[in-house]
Amino acid sequence: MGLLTSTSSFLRYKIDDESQELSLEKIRLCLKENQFPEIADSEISEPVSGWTSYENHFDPDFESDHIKYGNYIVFCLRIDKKSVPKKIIDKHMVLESKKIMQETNKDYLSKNEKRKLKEDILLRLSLQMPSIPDVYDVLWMPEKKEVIFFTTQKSVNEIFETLFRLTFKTSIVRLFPYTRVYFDDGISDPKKDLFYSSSHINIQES
Amino acid sequence: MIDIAVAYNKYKFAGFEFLTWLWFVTETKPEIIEDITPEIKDFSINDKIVIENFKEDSAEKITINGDKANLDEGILAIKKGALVTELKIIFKTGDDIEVKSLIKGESLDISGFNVLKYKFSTAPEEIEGSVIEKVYFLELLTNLVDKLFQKFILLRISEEWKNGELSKISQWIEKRRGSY
Repeated sequence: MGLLTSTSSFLRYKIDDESQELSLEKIRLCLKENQFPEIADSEISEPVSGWTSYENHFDPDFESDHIKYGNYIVFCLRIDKKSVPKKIIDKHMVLESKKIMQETNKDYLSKNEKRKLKEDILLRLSLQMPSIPDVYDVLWMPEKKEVIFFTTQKSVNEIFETLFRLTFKTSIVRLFPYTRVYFDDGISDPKKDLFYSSSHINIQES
Repeated sequence: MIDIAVAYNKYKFAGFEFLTWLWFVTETKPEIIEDITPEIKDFSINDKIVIENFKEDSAEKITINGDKANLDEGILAIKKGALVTELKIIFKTGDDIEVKSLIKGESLDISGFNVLKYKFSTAPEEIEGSVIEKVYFLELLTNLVDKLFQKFILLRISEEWKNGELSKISQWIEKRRGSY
């Protein structure tokens, strides 16, 4: 569902920053500083994210990899996540609950004990599981001060927005009806105010 | 600028009204669309419209799918106060290449953007050319949506909206209802 796939889904952001445009070298440096960290699967249990290059998802080198395509900057957000199948967690819950009850001479585990046990099992199994990488394309159009991000998954969009702001020290604002009007130079300020004070009118009740 | 989350919810009605208006314009005055973007032609509603009525106690949602979708049920829902929340569109470029896409009303996000029968090479030596080509098609779509949305907003805040356009939309609904 990315930039060059047959079908794409995307949302758009405006860079809301009047400061000087970033040079290509500065963009390379920022991407390198926040590139996807290579961490062994056995050392992480939580999702890990960072930038990677468009043509080299799993071993990026932002000093030499291609990031400029015509007038556009293209790179990717990589997010690695661990996923433990529920049936494996259930199996461990049954076996370890039984063991704890035998050791403590109890007939049952309290709700809190079960919750703690499940957390421990999930953490232990997560460290044993390989991460599953997902890669999402980013298209930056500097002339339009616009960035297109190729997914509409809300949780991924939030990670993207946070990392983009942190990386480039710039403000990006998602485009939707209100912000489109806000950033539209073809609509005068008095007309924008008219829109801001408007509300839905039922066509059939008008 | 007001809080983004508040603004998203407060003004999503504008996206729904825009898609409803776009359906009306496509059927009654399609020349507006090609006047705005001369690079495209044969703009039409494709095989999917989602319509929702938020005024009922339990929100009503109708999804009309299929190549020869019967839109009568959708018109009836609009008559009862519903709005278009998702709309699939299709158009041709000057070179007769077909582009289709689904626009979501509340955000104007794009899904299912597809340049039909067009293969973008991912061979390493051709990627740059493919990216530039794909962005060309993508900008045709985003420029079209931007220009149409701007036209809609300027109309929506004008006197013409209350004094002319709304009654034309009502007449279109009545005429469509009367045709079946």
